[in-house]
Amino acid sequence: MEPILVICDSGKPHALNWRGQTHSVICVLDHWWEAGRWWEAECAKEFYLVLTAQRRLLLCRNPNSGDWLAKAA
Amino acid sequence: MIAPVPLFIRSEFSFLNGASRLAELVNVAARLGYDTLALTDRDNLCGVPEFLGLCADHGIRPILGAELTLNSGKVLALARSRKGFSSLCKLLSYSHLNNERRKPSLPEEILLDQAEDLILLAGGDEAPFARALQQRHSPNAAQWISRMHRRFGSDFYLRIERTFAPLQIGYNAHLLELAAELSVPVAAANPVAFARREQFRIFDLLCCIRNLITLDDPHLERALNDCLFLRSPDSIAKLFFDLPDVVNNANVIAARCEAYELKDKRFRPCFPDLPAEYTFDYLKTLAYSGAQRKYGSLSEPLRTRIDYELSVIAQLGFADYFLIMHDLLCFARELKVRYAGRGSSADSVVAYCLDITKVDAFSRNLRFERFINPERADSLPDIDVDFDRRYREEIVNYVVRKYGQKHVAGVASFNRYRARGALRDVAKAIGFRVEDIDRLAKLSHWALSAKRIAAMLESKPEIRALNVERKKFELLFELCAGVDDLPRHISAHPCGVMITGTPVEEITPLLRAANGLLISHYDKDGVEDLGLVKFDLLSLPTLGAVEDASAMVRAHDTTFDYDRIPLDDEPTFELLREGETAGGFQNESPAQQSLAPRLKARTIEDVIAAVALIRPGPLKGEMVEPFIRRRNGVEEVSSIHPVIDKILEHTYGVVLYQEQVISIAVELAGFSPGQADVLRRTISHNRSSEKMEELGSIFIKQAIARGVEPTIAERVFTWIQGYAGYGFCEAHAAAFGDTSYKTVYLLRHHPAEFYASLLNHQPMGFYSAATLINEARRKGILVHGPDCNVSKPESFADAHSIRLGLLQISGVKEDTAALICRDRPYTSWGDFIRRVRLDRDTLEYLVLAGAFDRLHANRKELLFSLGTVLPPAAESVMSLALDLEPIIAPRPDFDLYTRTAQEYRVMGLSPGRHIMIFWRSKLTKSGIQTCRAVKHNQDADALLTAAGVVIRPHTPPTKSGKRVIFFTLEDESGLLNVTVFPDVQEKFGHLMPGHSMLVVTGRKDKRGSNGLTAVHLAPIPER
Repeated sequence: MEPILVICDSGKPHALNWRGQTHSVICVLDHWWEAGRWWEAECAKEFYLVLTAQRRLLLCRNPNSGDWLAKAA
Repeated sequence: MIAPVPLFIRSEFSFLNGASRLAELVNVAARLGYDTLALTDRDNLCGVPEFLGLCADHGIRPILGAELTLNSGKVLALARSRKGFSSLCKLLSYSHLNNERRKPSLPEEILLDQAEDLILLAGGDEAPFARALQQRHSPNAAQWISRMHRRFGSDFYLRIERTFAPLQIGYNAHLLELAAELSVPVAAANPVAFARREQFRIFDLLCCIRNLITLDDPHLERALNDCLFLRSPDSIAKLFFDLPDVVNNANVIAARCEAYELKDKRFRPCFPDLPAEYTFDYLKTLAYSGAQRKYGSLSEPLRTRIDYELSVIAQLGFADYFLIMHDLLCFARELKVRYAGRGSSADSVVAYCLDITKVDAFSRNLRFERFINPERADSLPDIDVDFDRRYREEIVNYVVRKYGQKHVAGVASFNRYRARGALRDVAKAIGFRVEDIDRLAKLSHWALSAKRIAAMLESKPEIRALNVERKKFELLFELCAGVDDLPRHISAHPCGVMITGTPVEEITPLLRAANGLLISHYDKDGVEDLGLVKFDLLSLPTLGAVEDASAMVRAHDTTFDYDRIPLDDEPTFELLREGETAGGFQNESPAQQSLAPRLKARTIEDVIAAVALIRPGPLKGEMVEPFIRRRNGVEEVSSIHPVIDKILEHTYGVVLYQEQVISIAVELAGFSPGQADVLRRTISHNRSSEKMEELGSIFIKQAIARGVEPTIAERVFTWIQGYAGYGFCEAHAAAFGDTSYKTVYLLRHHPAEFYASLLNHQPMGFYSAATLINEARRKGILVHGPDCNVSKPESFADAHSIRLGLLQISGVKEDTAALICRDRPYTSWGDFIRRVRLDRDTLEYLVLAGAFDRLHANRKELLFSLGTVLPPAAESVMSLALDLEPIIAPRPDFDLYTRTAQEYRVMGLSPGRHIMIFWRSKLTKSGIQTCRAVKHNQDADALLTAAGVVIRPHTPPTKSGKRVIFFTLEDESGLLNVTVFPDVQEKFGHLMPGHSMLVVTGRKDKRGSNGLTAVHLAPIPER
């Protein structure tokens, strides 16, 4: 996954800037949380599967840092 | 926004499927403001009684249900009426009883056919239609939903959950579409598996334990996130804000579940042999005829006491209970099964007259209210009876035959995580190596709280020796503390049997225990909470041992009667005072043996007091030392008030027994006996200062009103407040005291018979067969090893000697022993192996045990001769060369040490000698004494040294909280109790786990217990 800039509205991805281009999120197809490897002190992460005009993207947010990662799905 | 009622809650009783204690769940729910709560554990109703109590305490309306595993998936079933609850019980019974143990599954057709008054909810990723819906095969899902909807009508709902799991959004959208299409209502019900979000770690861990995987292993059943916690009404309302109808439906379901009472007197069993109107009269007749038999003439006070007890029994409706127990014990007597009532039931004169107990409660002036409190109509009496272990099952079978399988069930027991179990399971899930897990488990006491593991293990040098990183240990300790006290699995309670008036499945589901017994889903507390009647039918091996010993004695002395053993036999007291009571009942432990020479028992009352004194309560309450000093006249018994002096006369002014607290409250402060028992219970169980103050002021006020000086009233209350919590039930002590004394009588007068019987009933008691045999030898009893021509299957006594039985030898089963006995006599080794076809292992064990010594004394020659007639494989049965005579080639036999060690290996003991004799000459040269010499050395200041086999090292909780190791050192001369305090442990503690024999140097215990306080430990030198 690679870093990505995500703009949220009411806590949900609204638009994103990926590889230098801005995309609007048409809809959130799925949304879930994963606890991660808690026994190794890994923190939980939030996932979104979103649809933009170009492609489906899997977004991952680290709630501690606020950083987003993405990959084509 | 309206929040949905939590309808889907799994507690600890989902056994590794729920991570919170029930009490915590209800507490959190109450704190969050819920006024209605469902309990829906997976495939059981184990938590129902406790849940009802907790909900009542918090003013929450309970809804009872369960998550049912169908053969097609899982559904949620909520009982909307009492009838629905019974239906759920029956469905769960079916689910458990018609499948492999611990794998309940209900066929859909049974659910469709038999469910009544149940509301069914199906949804989530384990629903029967989930896979079809996930794969977009809506028709298949629709078919299942329609079938259920047709059957359950308005009692069927689809369930929607929002737990932030992958694919859930799409799945829910499909479900809502399908529901609309089929006109099936949908209700919001998020699964709850733990009360607080942070308990997810424990939940995930339990899932790994359940599936036998480590935390690193992926598994479909593992939750992906921590969203299965109990959300606040606000939070859950926000989650479902877009589905108001779905939320509303959850609340409609909750409203449709009626409030109903599970307690019902119809469940109390009736004595079936006569019409209900005659039961009380029959009980009265039995009580009086029993009294006539036991007391001869009936004095007025005795009549008054019996009438009082009968009136309370009648008033509380317990006549049937007494008659059922009486009938059961009549059966036991017909079968000649030895039994003995124990516990508070021995406070009853009626129970004594009915031969339920053997304690004369009238002569001892015991308080009936300790047994049955007339002012607590809801509490059922608790009659506990010990039976000879061999026949308990037969007794239970009688109950089943008499009352019918439909009315009888065993009681459950929840096996909860303690230190050792937690360490094993958690360390395995974390990925510790098997050998490290074994080492850790051995270091911890099994019954210790898992929360104390860190404190217990961190300081131990053995932990540092394990090559495990610190972080891993920290995780282990944290998770062990998290699982502490959670139930791991369910099993049968060892003695509880419930009998119900109406069919048992109306009130509880059943499951099959490992021993085949059908048991309730409720444990003993649950059974009591629901007002169900249970009987405690216990196994006590001692009763079998005394029965067998009595039979052996009667074989040469027909006048002997165990039940008529005189209770004032001086030689018996002499033995008790010496503390030489290994094998005795309730008097053989090191603590009892240490007490004995100090207490100096002279009467049966002293024996009864000893039973009560060596208990955590009296030890913690520091009652032992004052009792001993006063008993021996070293300290004066101070007078407080004439009333109290009289009540405490037989315990030298110490409040030793619970019955004495009741008597003080009644006679000094004018409490009714019932109120006095409530006072005793409150002091024992509730130590809140407000309650104490309230009780104290009532006690003092009432005592003053009866003319007691205010200072004395205050002093007495402070006094009983301090002691009452530690007191022991006198009736129970008296019941055990009788058996305790009589076993010492057998040890004193018929030791060969008693030791032989004890060997036949192993495992039992405190000591191993080897120690018992050593004790027998020390008493001058000749112990003969097994002999193929003489031994019986069991050990037996004959003319002050013991002949070991064939069953004492490892690998010799009952059928083998019977075979050997049947074909006697054997004229030679060859004759034996030709006529008794045994496998090689058994033959070797018989040789090593000395079973052929009288036919051929050289054991090594016999072992080698086996090779001439048997093929070499160990497991091969004698099928070749059957008619060949074994060829015995001359060779030197094993030396005596090897023979002895081999005997220990195959029998756990050596009939001829103690292993320590092989060290004796070397030890003597080094100035090391025998255990007996040290025990009888009266020099309190001398440094004494003994060596021996270490027996049962243990570290019981101490008042100071310090870890003190107690063990017994055994050599050919006897036993010596050793205490190792922390300073000595620090230097020599590392020797304890690895060495079975030690040299101990120390000083005699200053209190005069004959034990040794260690100052130095060392491994035993080379032989």
